Amino acid sequence: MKRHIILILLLACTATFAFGAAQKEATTSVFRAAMTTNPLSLDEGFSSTTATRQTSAYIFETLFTFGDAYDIIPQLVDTYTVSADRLVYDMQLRKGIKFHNGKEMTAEDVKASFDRFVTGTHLAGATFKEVKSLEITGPYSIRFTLGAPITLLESLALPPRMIIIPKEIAEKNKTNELRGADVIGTGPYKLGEWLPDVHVKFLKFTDYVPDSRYDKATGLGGKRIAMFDEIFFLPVPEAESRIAGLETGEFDFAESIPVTSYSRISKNSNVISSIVKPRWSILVELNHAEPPMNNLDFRKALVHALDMGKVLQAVSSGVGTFVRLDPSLFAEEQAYFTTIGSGGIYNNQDLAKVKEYLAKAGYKGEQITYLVNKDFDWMYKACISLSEQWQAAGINVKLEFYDWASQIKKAQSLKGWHINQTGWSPRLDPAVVISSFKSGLVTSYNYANPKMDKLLDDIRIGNDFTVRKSIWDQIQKLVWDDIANIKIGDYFELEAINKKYQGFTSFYVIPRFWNVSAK
Amino acid sequence: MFSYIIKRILILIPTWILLGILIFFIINMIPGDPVAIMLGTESAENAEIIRERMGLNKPIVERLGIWIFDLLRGDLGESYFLGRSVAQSILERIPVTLSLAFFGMLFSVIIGIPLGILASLKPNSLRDTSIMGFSLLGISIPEFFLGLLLIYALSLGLNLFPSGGYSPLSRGAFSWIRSLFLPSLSIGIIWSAYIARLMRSSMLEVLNQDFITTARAKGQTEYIVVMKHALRNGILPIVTAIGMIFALLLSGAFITEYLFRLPGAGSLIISSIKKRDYPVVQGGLLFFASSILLVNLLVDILYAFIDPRIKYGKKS
Repeated sequence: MKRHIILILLLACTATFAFGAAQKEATTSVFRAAMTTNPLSLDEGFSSTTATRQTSAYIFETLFTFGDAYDIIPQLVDTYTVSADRLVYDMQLRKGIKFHNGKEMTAEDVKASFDRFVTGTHLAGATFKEVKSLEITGPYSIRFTLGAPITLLESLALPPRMIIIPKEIAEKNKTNELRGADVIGTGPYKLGEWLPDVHVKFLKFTDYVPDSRYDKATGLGGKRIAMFDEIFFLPVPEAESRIAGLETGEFDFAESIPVTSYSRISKNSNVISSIVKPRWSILVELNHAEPPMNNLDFRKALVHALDMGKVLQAVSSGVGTFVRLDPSLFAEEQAYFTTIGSGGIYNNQDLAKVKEYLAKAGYKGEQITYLVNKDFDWMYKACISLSEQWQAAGINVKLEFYDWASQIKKAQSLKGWHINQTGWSPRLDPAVVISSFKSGLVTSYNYANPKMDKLLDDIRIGNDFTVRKSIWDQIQKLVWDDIANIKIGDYFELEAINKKYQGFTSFYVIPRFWNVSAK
Repeated sequence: MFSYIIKRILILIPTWILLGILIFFIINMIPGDPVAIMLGTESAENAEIIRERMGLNKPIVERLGIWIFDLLRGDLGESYFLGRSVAQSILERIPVTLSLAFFGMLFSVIIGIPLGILASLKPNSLRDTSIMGFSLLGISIPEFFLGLLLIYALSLGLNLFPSGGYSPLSRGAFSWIRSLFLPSLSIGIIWSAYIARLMRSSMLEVLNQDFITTARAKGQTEYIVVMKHALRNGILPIVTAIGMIFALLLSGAFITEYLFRLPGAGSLIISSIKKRDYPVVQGGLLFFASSILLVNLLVDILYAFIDPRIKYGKKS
């Protein structure tokens, strides 16, 4: 009897809480996106993580940005001219652009933003070291004067982006991260609230001026229109929770859904799945100072030991839609894609050649330390397949597991390791790849080749696309000739949106909910 | 009693200092680098400048000295990544953690104590075996798996509760309780299994004592015997257990928080460890360790109220 009473009480509680009317926002249109993680900062000058880029794209804009085809397009710049020697850029700014605090954007704000970004933030690095001056030539016009004809427009568009903020905010936060009320940009959404691990809330910026030069939104620019009154980015690190929330309708969107759930998501008539292509380049970086990795023959043996298809099969759990054999550091959707230099070496498993190269390198079975992690499931699956293939080819690979933070630290110590498992987000321009191959930089892991250094210097020159593409082809060829690192293939991610919305397409690492609306 | 409490508080001080030093060294000595997390893998050019700004270029002992000095001034420091102070970060999590701990505890007591009593009344019967079977299952089932089962059954299947997320009390009691129901039930089921076992063995011990036989011989009803005489004596170990469980829950039920997207203390500490946000980990661990020490003290004091035989500060 007592047991029955307890059961009845429990059921009564359950029913009371479950069937009551849910409180809903009746008048405001709200969009809820389940994201994998929390931004570490809302200021791109202080964090280069994906989550920061994702949130920043809604709040801030830049002078130039990327279009759908990863092409450079003006955003806050109206028109511009370049001198014949490519050293002077005159830019006219768009008029009538409002900041979220109501102030109109002028050349003063652009100069203050540039000065802050270059001298006060963490991430500007050497990007603009060739900029000799930025002058204000009128209320809405500026002039960049360069010491060398670098790729200025690309640098202004590339993440970490040189965001345009009000002059007074830039001067107040000369060396500080933008926080709270100082997070003010010109984007279609303004910051409502940032509660770490809870949400980032964006509010529609009603004074936003859509860029009428374009018919529609493209890349991170174009004619962006805020359709929802509020957008919430909710950090939901657990994949099953993201899927469950999407299925129950608590989330309107979920990013990075495991490929193993592809059929489940595809069968759900309430959601539309979308594949983010390109998303990840799976590759391993090599420590060129650590013997025997300093020997090219040994590095060649490493590549010839691999059947890349097997690795990709492991990574995608056999769902081929999410992987692609690809020797290029730029994906085939991007203008710099090339397979030059990969013939006969990429995905050309040949154990006889492995034996021959190992003998040439004088390899005697020394232990090869391979830095790996379990933070990224696909990296873990890749490293298991790769290490098995290397071991089968007679290379004594030992896995050393770290969490992601420790792995980066260990890799950048440049000691005690040979292979580093990693993945690259899409590189938007060859200039971004410089830090991976330029001699003397920590992130090039002791790789040094004067020919590569010269090519990397050349690719920074603001030539037209054809010239830069031919330089990039030479760089990509040299990457394979030297086995500077080993590209395994491409891995795509799955994301999904509720069927009641229209206008969503996947792009880069940033889900774009501007111009998305209810059907 | 009063002098006992003062004595206990005085003992807390050296424990607290030792704890602080230990926490500082452990978190600072694990590999990893917040600067690398901040910069990502694409650029390491400004690493030294950032390290200097964060104060990470100083020797570890000097950093410990600065931290303790700031602590004594009541300053737990500033998070590297959360855009706010450590104290504010912790304070924001307390309502979630307290709510989850309270409801989790409530479920475990509501389920665990009656089950333990029921099992003890007919030892080795089918009822006892069934309850102990449930208890074994509750102890053995991984928190993560039970949470997922509840989400699938009550959220995805029956659509009774949200699959996760936290709605603060300020948005209404109904949505607050609704958002906490599944995670609290998940915690409650697991800890109720432990409480039921403890309650059963404690009750069995009491029910075999002479005063229970006397009470029965006096003709008192079974309800009075069990609920008045046996339960009052049998509940003491449960109070200790509840105190310990509550203290543990206060420091965060990370897996439950993670699965149900609750921004509580556990997720704060774990995500800060992942990012090597040293000030938050140090301040957070110290804060929650202190809360465990305090809850223990409170439980000891509570003992004296429940059991009049216990007299602190007096020699027997």
